[in-house]
Amino acid sequence: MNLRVDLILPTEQRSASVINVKSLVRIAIIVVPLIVVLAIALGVVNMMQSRGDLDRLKTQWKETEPQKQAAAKLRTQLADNLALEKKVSGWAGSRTMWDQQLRGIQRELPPEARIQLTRLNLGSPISVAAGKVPVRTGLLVLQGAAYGENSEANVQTFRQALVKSPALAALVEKVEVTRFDANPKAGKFDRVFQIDITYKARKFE
Amino acid sequence: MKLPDDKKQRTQVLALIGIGAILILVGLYFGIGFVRDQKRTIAKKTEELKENIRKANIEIDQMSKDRKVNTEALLKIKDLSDKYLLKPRLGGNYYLSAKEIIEAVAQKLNLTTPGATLGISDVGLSDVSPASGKTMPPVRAYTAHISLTCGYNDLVRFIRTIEEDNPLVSAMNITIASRAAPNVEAHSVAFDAQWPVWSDEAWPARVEAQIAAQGGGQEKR
Repeated sequence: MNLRVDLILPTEQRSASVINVKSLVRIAIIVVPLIVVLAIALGVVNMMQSRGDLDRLKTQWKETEPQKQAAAKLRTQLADNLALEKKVSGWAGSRTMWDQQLRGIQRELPPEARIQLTRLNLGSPISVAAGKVPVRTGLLVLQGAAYGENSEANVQTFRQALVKSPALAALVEKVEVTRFDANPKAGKFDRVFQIDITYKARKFE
Repeated sequence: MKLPDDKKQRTQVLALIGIGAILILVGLYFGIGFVRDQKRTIAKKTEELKENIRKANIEIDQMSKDRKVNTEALLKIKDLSDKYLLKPRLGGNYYLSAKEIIEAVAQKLNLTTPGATLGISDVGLSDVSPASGKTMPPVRAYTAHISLTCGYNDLVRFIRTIEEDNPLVSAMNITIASRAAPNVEAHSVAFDAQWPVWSDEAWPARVEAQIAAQGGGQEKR
């Protein structure tokens, strides 16, 4: 038979556990607020440092901003001046060297073909459209008379020669015979004709 | 510390402790939130400023190159203006300047013989680029009409000389009409010569002022 003798009063009893709940609560009451206060202090210090960095950057920006504005002003001025230079020098790009065209037409007129040019008319207006680069266009009209039985073939040969002419080829869009009629003042096979040479538009650039 | 033995008092103490704990937690929540928001705001402003300063420094670094290109453009404009843009005489009269140029070329090529009948008339100013709002295009066109009686070859030489003397001038609206016998060698010819002109006579001074402001064409170091 086992006998247990307990001489300690219930109020005098102590826990055998190493961890004492009451002690833990006491420690927590001190440590937890301390950690919280420390965290807040760190946050505030951190915030103050960031604010200091921001102030330094603001000072730097105050020094940089006028230079930036000067750079922007210069860039605007540069863009304006480049556009102006393009506008002025664009005049050279827009023109056709008409002396070379007149010489080219003269060269392509076959002497044996019995063709006589009676009138040359060039219209070369500037076309100005809103929002677009202005262009020079060109329509050169040749009027003449062709004599003899082969007048039609000769006019067509002349047209072909104009199309292939080294002076005209790169600049011309199309060459058309727009009129080929009997010549009431001349012989049976003689004809009057008109050849239209349309030039490619040339931009002012 | 021991809680009171009285149940009512104990409940009151516990309630007070609970309320206190809640107040502390609420304070902590808002306090930490405030600090966190401030940090975020500061971080955002810092990043924005850093980015602005970075971009500004790139633009500032570009300045010396921009200044050089700007000076080159200005000098080219001045050169074109001095050499090739038609200058007005006697308060906006372009006709006299054009007439002088055309007559000089005609004389050089011997096209001013009594039979040549050189005629020069004023066509006037026109726009070559569309007006944009209130801004006047800086360059306009001045046109003079030239008529004379000469051979085809002489006309070609005449136009070539005008074109070669000034790379910006354009011959246009050419008409060549044959004449009745016995004058078949000399044709009735006419054409327009067109020059660029400043729309505002103050433009050359403006360009020069800008060149002077850039250091007279010497790049600032």
